[in-house]
Amino acid sequence: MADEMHTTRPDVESIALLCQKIMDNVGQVIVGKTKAVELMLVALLSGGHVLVEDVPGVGKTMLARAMAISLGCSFSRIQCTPDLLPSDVTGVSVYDPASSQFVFRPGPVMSQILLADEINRATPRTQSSLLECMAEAQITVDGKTWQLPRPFLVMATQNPIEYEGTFPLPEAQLDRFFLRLRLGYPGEMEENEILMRLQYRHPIGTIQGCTDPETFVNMQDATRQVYVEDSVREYVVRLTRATRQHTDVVIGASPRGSLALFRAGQALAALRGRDYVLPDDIKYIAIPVLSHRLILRPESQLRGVAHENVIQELLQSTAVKFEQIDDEAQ
Amino acid sequence: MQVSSDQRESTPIGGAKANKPNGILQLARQQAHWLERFILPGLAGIFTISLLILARQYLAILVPRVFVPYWVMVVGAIASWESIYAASFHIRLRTPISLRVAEFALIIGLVYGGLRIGGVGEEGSLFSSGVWRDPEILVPLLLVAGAWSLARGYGQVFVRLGDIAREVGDQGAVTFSWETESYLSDYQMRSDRAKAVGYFTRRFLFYVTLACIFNAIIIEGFSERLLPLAGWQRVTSLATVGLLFSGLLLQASVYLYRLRVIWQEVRIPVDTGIPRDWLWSSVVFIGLVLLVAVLLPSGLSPLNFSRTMEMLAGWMARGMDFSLPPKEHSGSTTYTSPMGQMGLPETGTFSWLVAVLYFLFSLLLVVLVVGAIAALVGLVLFAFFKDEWERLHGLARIPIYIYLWFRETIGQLFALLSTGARRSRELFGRWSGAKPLSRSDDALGQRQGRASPSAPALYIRHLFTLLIEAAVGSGLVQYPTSQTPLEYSKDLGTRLGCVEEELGLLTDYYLRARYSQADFPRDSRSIVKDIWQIVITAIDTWQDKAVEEAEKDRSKSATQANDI
Repeated sequence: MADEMHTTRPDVESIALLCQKIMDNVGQVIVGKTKAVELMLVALLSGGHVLVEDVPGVGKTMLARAMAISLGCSFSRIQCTPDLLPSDVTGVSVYDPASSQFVFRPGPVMSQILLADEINRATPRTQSSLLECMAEAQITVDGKTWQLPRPFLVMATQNPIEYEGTFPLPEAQLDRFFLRLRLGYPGEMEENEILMRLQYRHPIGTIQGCTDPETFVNMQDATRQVYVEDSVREYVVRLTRATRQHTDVVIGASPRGSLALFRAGQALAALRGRDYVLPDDIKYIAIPVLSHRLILRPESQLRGVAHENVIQELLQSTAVKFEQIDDEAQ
Repeated sequence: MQVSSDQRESTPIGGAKANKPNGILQLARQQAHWLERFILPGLAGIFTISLLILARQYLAILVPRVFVPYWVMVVGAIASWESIYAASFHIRLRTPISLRVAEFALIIGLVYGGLRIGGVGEEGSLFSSGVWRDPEILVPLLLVAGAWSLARGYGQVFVRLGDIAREVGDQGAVTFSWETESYLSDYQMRSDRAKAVGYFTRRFLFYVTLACIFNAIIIEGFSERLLPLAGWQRVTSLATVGLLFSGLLLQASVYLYRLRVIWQEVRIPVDTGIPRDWLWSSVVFIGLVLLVAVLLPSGLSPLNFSRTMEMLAGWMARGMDFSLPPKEHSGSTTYTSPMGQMGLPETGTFSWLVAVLYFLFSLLLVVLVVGAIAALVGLVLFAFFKDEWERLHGLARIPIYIYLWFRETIGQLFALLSTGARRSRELFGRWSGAKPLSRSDDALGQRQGRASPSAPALYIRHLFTLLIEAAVGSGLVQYPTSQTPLEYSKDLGTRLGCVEEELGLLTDYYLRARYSQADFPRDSRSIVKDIWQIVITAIDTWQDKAVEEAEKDRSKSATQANDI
């Protein structure tokens, strides 16, 4: 049964080629952040959403816009504030005097790439409405359900340095994000390159689309066909379960976390032109996918233990078991 | 009695929840109950006047030249009552300070005027500063001022206590449990209440102690001055009785007052006779206490206290006489038994009754002493930790922290030992497995003596497995646990320092064989085998070098040992 499901070989070469084109295209705007772009593509290929935690001014908005242009997707942005209402996100029905009917005016969520800037400034109610859209890919307004366009990616940003007037995302809601990434400051050479490129005009106005949304949706479907060998799948499960037994962790990653790791492994393999997943793919993607899903013990946090440290430690201690020497060699 | 809403809003001696009073008369009308209108101010006044009289009596003995007229006592009494009643008006009406100064000046002015009319300080003018240095003027003025201030303090505490009781009652009305929960609430009610109630106890004890000290000083040091003063003893005793009576009854009434306000606030139907019965019971009880404690020793009772005490002492002495050791034993050289030294009766006069009495007295003494010490220690501890109880539970955490620290340390120690043991086992395995490998054309077949799988994918996996075994066996690298095949081959290539390209190619074949569904052509077996052979040769070469170096080191160390 399992073998039957994997009979179709995905066209990973074209996926890798297209992803490379997209990365080059985005690279014209975002300098030196190849890994962040790669991870964002992984999330897009997996149909997940991204939480970007970083200080202002490192290119979060530019990354989302450049990605939207490269994919030929529609883009909208919500600047989250405490007075933002759920209807400001989803849209609202307004009365049309001409037709004497209520007409639905879609909100910014009805776009393919949505940037929710500083999501932790919105109230929990608005956050919940947004996260519901993310989870179900549909919205319901006045009893009518609207499907969100595909591909649909929410890129939410969080400023980790300000706490006043913010409503930090609860751990349960953090779990809904496919992966969390940090852009970080550029290096010296990269910053010089940025200044040179932006001397006359911003390159965001010059980049062209590399594909169209339909093609990308097909790529998403093809990614699901990437083969995951049993031992790799077991490694994913072992790794996720290990997060629940770590001494510094109160609540480890959920099954949603293991599924995300599994899908991310498939997407990364496809992005790298492979139709099978390696344990290295899982290792590469584990920190962005799992770290934000852990709830650390308060005493561990006081000791300075970070989420990333825990995952790193687990990666070094969890057995890959790629070959059983004594059994299989005979 | 169901308290009506009108009654509830009435405020005895002022109140926080009362309607804002419009004037003195309205405020006076709010003091509806006889307890706060008459009893409390009356008792506080009696206490103050008793003190005033006692002060006059002691001054008459200790400083005979200062004469305080009796009418000063009357003015002092009036001033005290006025001060108590006025306190609530000043607090509730927020009167200006100038009014209070004027009130005080009026009292002092009255006394001063009376003294001048009585002929005291006639040699100086009315407002001469020299007059104030005359003790016959200054002392009465100070006495009245002191009484006025003391009474003002009582008046203010009555107001405060009323507020607290009203707030407690208010909380009680909310929580439906008017007493316990409201006392145990975290509204600082308990500490405020304790301070307000303790105020009366502190004052009472302080002034009673002062009276006792002065009594003792006068009786012991100035007894000759008592003789010409007829009636001094009687007036002093009556003032002392008044002081004790009013002080003790005031405490009982204060408690009653608090309860009454709470009842009123919570609207609990309470029998109107309860406050009256309470008060009468307190009067009777305190009267009896005073009768025993003061009147009997003062000789004011028809019973002769001295004779009674002598009789009791005689009874006790007769009992104790048996326990005294015979005097003739003290100087003799004959043997005295320990029992005799301890005071037990002689054999001939031994009585079980006396022995039991002796035992009981000893026990009583021991219990008293131990009890007194324990009570003292307890009081000190209680006073020391009075405000610290809430923090004390933190102490209980210390052993838990110690336990957790100990457990963590032991855990880490065991983890360390376990890791050490595991690493040692691995090292031992590598060392014992690091023996020269046989080299033949068909090294593959001889290494494991196993049949090679026929399918290319399995064959490639088999070769890679043999490669791992060879690398582990030669001591190059450890058996991979958390490493992926890629990481493992990179590590191996770095250690070998050569054939990295072949190793990468072999790993690539292996990865596809292991993790993909790829089909390999038949000729891939020979290709992979050739690559594998190159890598294995490199491992063997590395091992030969390692063995040679080890041999050299061994011979060098042996030579050095021989030289030595």
